[in-house]
Parts: sequence; structure tokens; C-alpha cells
Amino acid sequence: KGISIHLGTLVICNGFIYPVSEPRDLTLRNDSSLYRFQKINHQWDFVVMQAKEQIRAAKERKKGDRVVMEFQERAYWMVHRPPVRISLMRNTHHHIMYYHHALNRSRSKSSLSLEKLLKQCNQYLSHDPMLTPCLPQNPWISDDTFYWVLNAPNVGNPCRLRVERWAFGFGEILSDARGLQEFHNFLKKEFSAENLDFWEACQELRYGDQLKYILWDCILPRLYLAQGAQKWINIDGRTMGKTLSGLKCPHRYMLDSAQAHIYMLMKKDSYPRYLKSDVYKNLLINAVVPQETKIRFVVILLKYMSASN
Amino acid sequence: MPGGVMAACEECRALVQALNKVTACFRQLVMSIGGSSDSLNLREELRRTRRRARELVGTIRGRLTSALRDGGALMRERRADFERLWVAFASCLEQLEADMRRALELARIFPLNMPRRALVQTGMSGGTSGLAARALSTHSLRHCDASEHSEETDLLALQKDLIEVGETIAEMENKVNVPRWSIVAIEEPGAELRSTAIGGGTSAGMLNVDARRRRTCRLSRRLAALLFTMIILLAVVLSVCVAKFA
Repeated sequence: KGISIHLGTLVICNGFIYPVSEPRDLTLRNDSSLYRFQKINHQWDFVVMQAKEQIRAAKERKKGDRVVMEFQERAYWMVHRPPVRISLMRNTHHHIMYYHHALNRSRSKSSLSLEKLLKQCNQYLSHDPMLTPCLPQNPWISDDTFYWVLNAPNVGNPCRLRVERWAFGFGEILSDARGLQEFHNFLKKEFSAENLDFWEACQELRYGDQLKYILWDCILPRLYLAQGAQKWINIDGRTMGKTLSGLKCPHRYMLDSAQAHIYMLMKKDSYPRYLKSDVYKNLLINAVVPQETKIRFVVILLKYMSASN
Repeated sequence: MPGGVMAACEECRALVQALNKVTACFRQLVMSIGGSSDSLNLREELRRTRRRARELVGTIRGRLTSALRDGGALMRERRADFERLWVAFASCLEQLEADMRRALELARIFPLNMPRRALVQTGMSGGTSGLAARALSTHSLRHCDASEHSEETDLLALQKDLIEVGETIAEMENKVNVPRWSIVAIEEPGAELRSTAIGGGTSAGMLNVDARRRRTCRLSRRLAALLFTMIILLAVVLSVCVAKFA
């Protein structure tokens, strides 16, 4: 409760809403007082005043210049206008097709989506340091940096929470450097590490710098895609054809479809096997569970005193 | 004491309105930089307008700050008026800062001295001295010291002014506690569309009004001519009649 009031006060202090009855007192109160969203009403007088003055000032120009200015303004708004919807009359057929698709699209019930959302929130509840105090200490509160040491990107023995999180979804393990390493080792044992290599190379190609991209675009196809290549990856004929035709004019996103294919392959096949494997289970058992350390009030007090001195 | 407060408020309002005028003119002047009507004169006018704005900002800042800070002597509604002025002043400053930044940018792209770059042929030909004169509230401008200031020092001065305006904005935020969100505008949104006191909302409207006025003008001139010929004819007929019957 205290935390939610604190959050609300932060929202007020940042000016998103303000209290109606006492606009000077920027705190959230736990009663039935009213709050209102921010608006630009306060500037309206200025807007009107300035606009009138602009018109008066523009009259000082010569007639021809005024016409030129007006056309400039119109041209500006023509270039910067918001996107216009394509008129219905012209593409009726297109529209009918679109609505047909929309009608046939499978829709998820809101109750199901809400349930999923609830489930996800529950799942991540203990992983969110805003909601659950993190172990051993929140470094922002206690100045104790041990938390970061324990959760360094390539720490030897990761924390239990972190290892648990890898099981939430394939994206989680790929976004964690330590998880990626573990997964890579596992795939190596299964002799399918080239899939992950290919995926990583594609990420590099997508987000890396231009120079690398030039290098990659001659190496990648030879390394992974050519028949009998060193790390040949197994993708179906259609995707392969699409990728090879894309190679004729190389660009950053040429390997996207192949990458998506490999991603799904790993997600459906290797990833569940990894979660069931002994490697993962052992890691989970041996994972560190940090103990909560007490905030040493004396230390903090001393720090404040030295700071104030 | 209330009388004194009222007078101070009116004075402040007049000053803010003057600043508003100068800001509007400054924006209009900035629009011409880099166009075909750009010249040393324009730069000089910009400089003078800026100087005038700086003077006004200094005066208003002092008055508003002292008025809003001494609190006790002010009556309740007077305080609201002052706060409204404060918001208008802050908005003026913000616009001024944006325009100065634009001016600096444009002046750097289009230097007028040695390695002269081709100006954009916007088709504007007329001078802008009218605008500057309006901003400085004088009837004529004499460009006497235009050559004294080199362009670089001018740019540096502009940069300095820009920083000063930014500092003023920050200082005002800190010194006076005026919750902007609690201030309600006097004018309803959209009220200016209903009133026709000022000719049209946009520049397009302005041109239309001009055209209409000219059309009615032409029509009335024709009517007058017709009336005049009729009177002359009548006079001739009358004189002929008098001559015959006499």
C-alpha cells in the first residue's frame, strides 16, 4: 500500500495528473480527493494572443510576400500532413477482401487473454524488483553492489531466479548471456550447435555495424547455406529458395526468413529437450539462493553524517 | 495598497504584451533568413529585435518575481492575474528560445560574408524593415552601424543570448512556485473563431477579406459614377427646359 502511494506521488510529481482541490500540494492522498489529467489550458491565452500578434505582424510585409508565405505554409502542411486513408470507392474490392479476412480471423476471448495476462503477471511477480524485494539487497537502497556481482552477465554459478526464468520462454534464455552459453553447450553435445551459431550470426548481421555487414554477407552464405558447407543448416526448400533469391541483392534483412525458420526449429525441438535434460536440472539444483542481508542502519547513518559534513 | 498593486499588474500586462509583440515579429523575421530577401539589413534588424526582447525579458522577470514572491500584500484575484501573466511570460520565453535556436542554425547554414552560399529563391522580395520597426515600436529604422559587427561576433552573441534565455527559464521555474496546471485561461478554446474582431483566423482568411473588401470598393465607385452622370443629365434637361419656356 505504501509503495502504491509512493508510485502515485511520483506520477503526480512528474505532472501527469494533479490534485483538483489543492493544486500546490503534490502528494497522493489515501482518501476520496479528486485528481485531473494534465492539459494545456493554461497556455491557451498565450496561444490566442500570440496568433493575433503574428497576423498583425505579417501585415507589415508586402502583399506579394504575404502570398508567398501563405503558399509556403500550405506546402509545408501538404508535405507534413497526416497519412490519408485510401478512399473506399477506389479499392472496394481490396476492402471487401480485408473485411472477409477480418471476419474469418480467429479471435481470442477477452477472458482468456486476461487469464493469460494474470498468469504472466504471477509468473514474473517474484522477478520484478519493484514488487518483490530482491535478494540479497537492493543496490539502489543499501549501496551494496553484491546483487550485481551475483547477477553479472557471465557469472559462473547463476542465481536460482535467473535459471528459473529461462524456463518461461525461449526468448528469455536467448536474451540472457549466461543462458545462451548454457544452451550452446547443450546443443554442442547434441551436434546441432550450428543452428544457434547461425541464429547468432543473423542477429549480428541485423544489428551489427555496416563494416561487419559487408564481411558477413560474403561469409554467411558460404558458411551455412551452400551445399556441403562447413556448418550446413537444415532448412526446407521453400525458405532456402527465398533466401537464395534474396542473396542476389544483399541487404541487412536478407536472412530473415531463414532465421525465423531456425528459431522456430530450436524453439519447438531443442529448447523443450534442454529444459527436460539433466544439465538444466542440475544447474537448477546447484543454483545460488542468496540470503537476505540486514540493512546496517548504523553504516547508512554514518554515511549520511559524513555526507552532510 | 490595492491601487498600487493594480497599477503594477497593469504595467506588467503592458510589458508582457510588448514582449509578445516583439516575439511575434522576431519569428516573422527569422522566417526570412536564408531566403531571397536575406540581407545584412535583415541580420541587423534581427539583432536589434533580439536586444529589445532581452531588455523586456530582464524588466519583466524582475517585476513578476518580486510581485509573486512577496505574496502577503497581494489580494487573491490579483495573485491569479499575476500568475496568468507569469505563464504568458514563460510561454513567450519558450517560443523566443526556439526561434533563437532556429535563427542560429539558419545563420550558420547561410553565412552572408566571404564564402557566400546561394540563398534559397523563395520569391520573397520585399524588405522586412516594417516588421522590425513594429517590434521596436519606432517609425523608421536607420541602418548606420550595420558594418560594425562582424558575423562571427553576432553569432557568438546570439549563442550567449540563447543560453541566457534558457537560464532565465530555469531560474523562473526555481524561484517562483506557480503551479501552471492550476491556471485557467480566460478565453474559452474556440472563442476566437466566433469573434470576427480580427480579420480571419489564418493568413488565408486575411487574404480573402482583402479581396472581398476590394470588390465592394469597386462596386461603390461605379454606383457613384452613375449617380453623378444622372445628376448632370437632369441639370442639362432642366436648363434646356428653362431656356425654352423663358
